[in-house]
Amino acid sequence: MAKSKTAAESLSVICDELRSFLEAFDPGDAEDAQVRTGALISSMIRAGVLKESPSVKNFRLHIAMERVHLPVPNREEIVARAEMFHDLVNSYGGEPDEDDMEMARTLLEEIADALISAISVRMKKGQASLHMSDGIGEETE
Amino acid sequence: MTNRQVPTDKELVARATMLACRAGVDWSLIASQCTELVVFGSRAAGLETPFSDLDVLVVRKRGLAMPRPRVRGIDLVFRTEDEILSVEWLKSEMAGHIAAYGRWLQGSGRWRNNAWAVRGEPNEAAEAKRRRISRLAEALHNHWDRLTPDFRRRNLTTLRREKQRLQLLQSGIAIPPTRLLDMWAEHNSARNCCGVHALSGTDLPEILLETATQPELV
Repeated sequence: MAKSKTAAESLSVICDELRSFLEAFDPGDAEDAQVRTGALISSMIRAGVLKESPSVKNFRLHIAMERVHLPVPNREEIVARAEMFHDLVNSYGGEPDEDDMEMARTLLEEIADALISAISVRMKKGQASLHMSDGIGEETE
Repeated sequence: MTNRQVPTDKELVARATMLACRAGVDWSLIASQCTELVVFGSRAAGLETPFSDLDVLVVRKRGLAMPRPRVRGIDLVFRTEDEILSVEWLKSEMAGHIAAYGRWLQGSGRWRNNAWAVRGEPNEAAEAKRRRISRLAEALHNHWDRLTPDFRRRNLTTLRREKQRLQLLQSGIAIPPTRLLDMWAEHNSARNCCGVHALSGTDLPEILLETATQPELV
């Protein structure tokens, strides 16, 4: 029971991270978005729904969305949006224009909706204590 | 010395065509709608990792509303003919990098001789880089506790590279592909045994001077 509560709390940390990311999103501060993306993926790893990988490439949000062990709705679409989000906030030279950052905000909202919905489904089903070894995830590789 | 294998233009075009085809995009159509196609970044220099994207500058023909397709594995940067002649572009970090390290698959790239030549005081590219470093450091400070050790390392590496780039920009040197920055850091670290702190040193690696294709720009 205690383990289940801990897992549920860990999942709610992901939701908190997403909400905080959206609330604080500043189109003039791509660096904050870049570091917060890392914090978001870190929260997934700590919640046990994403396996840490030695590959730098796998730290990217779209790879995380592809591999996260949650029932993400329309996963393929969300992965594509996450990849676009990555490209928009990581432009060469580090200063994306504000139009690109506004588009990134819209994409983040869609990603957050999908992730929060997936977490909600997982928690409602009382599966919060289950980890990736339970075979619920949709790992693609 | 590294054993770099710099790809031929034909190989670069073949890679772009293959990746575009996978995404359902006709690369020859993109080529027909632009005046310049320039590959830059690590793949242009043969310094890529298996995960490196192909960075391509696409200069659109004047007056042509060209779609901006998204191709996985290719980072397309779109500019208009007017934009690449603007002082803002010519002073930018990206223009300086492309002018020195870019591989022209199409077009003459006459603007590259003007890149950085128009750089005045204050050095706007360096100022932009300084702002970025400041924001990055602040973000890291704010979110440090919530990052896993790997993300901390990764962000510190980004910060180190950006400090290297700032040093180069302040010295009027075009920014090289990232792998060269890492080799420079490794070289300094081995020689000075002080890792990231070596970036505050003033010596610039010979490899940066050797690699640029436009010596007059470095």
